[in-house]
Amino acid sequence: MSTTISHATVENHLHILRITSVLTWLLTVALLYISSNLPLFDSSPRVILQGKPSTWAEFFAFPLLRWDAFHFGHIAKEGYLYEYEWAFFPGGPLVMKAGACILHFIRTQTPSQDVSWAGLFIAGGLVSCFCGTTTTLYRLTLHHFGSPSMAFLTCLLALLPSSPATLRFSVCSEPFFTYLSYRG
Amino acid sequence: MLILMAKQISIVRVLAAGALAALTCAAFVLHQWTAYASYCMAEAGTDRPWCNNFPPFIYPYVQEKYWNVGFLRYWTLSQLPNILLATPILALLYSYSLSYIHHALLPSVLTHPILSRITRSSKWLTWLSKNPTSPLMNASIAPHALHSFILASILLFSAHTQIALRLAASLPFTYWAAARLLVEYPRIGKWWVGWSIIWGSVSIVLWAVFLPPA
Repeated sequence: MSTTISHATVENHLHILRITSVLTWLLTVALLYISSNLPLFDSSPRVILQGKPSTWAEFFAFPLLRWDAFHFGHIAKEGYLYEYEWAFFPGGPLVMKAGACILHFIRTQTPSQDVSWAGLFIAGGLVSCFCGTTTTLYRLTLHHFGSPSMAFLTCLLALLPSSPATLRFSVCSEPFFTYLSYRG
Repeated sequence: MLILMAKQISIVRVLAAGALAALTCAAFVLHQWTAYASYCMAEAGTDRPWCNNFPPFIYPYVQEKYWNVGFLRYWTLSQLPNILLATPILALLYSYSLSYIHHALLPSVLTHPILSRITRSSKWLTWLSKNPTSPLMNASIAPHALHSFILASILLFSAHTQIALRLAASLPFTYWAAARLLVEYPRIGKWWVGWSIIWGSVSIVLWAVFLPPA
């Protein structure tokens, strides 16, 4: 383990990584929202979000409601109603519900447990975005390998994940799993 | 892994590691207990087949019944494209974890004072215990290597294999493996970067139009 790791090098790397992380996030968001205008193979999101998105909230929530997000959203809203839902652990839905309640409070200044589908997904998506995964991964790699270059390379590669949509936005467990697994 | 690095195994460390592991498992057990209390301890009529299992966990039952999860159950012809989509990332995980187990973990275990006498008495074990040193094979990432190997195997043989694309992206080990590719096998490393960019973009579009693999 090198004892002469330059503080300036580390700070420089982290600075570049923060910028590239935001840039890749923006590119991912842009591609996601543009592609969601294409015809859907499965139109079930429109059943939940009532046809064409009519409000800003539904517009932002629409591309996030795919696949397992249905199950997480339903658990967040109604609790564990059906037996198959027990395959999903409660952490994600809890975060969605808490986030949605906070958003609702910010908008209406009244505390309420009754949250909308759109609110749940936006809250979940927002929390997913703000897990500080890149800097955590940098410090973890530095701890194990002692090399700022290795840490920098690893984090740059981590900005090209194999599933950007679920990792960064979706309320599936992945963003939280990533952050927590990076923290060890 | 401090246990392997130290020359003596401390009971306190073993107990501490066990306690931390139990804490992680406690959340899972609590979730299962909540399900048990809801279905098996409520009034008559809500009893389910898994209530009589040992242990009475809802999770394996639900995975098997509703998602058809089980050893080799996913290996059907119609799921072959999903499995093929996951092969790059599974190959990456296997290559680094197996290499690590062979070149770093086994040598360090076999040359530990407790086992070294047994190792020296066998030609095959002695061969296995040779370890070419490399900065990418340090002892502290052994848990990551073992975890990745086991997770990749579960994903390949028992689960819906395409979720490897989601799960592996959450592991630091995946990106260490990719960094190793770029450093030790640059040509394959470049293919990895190219695949990541192309597949990452394609997967966003597939997610948005609600197509597999997601």
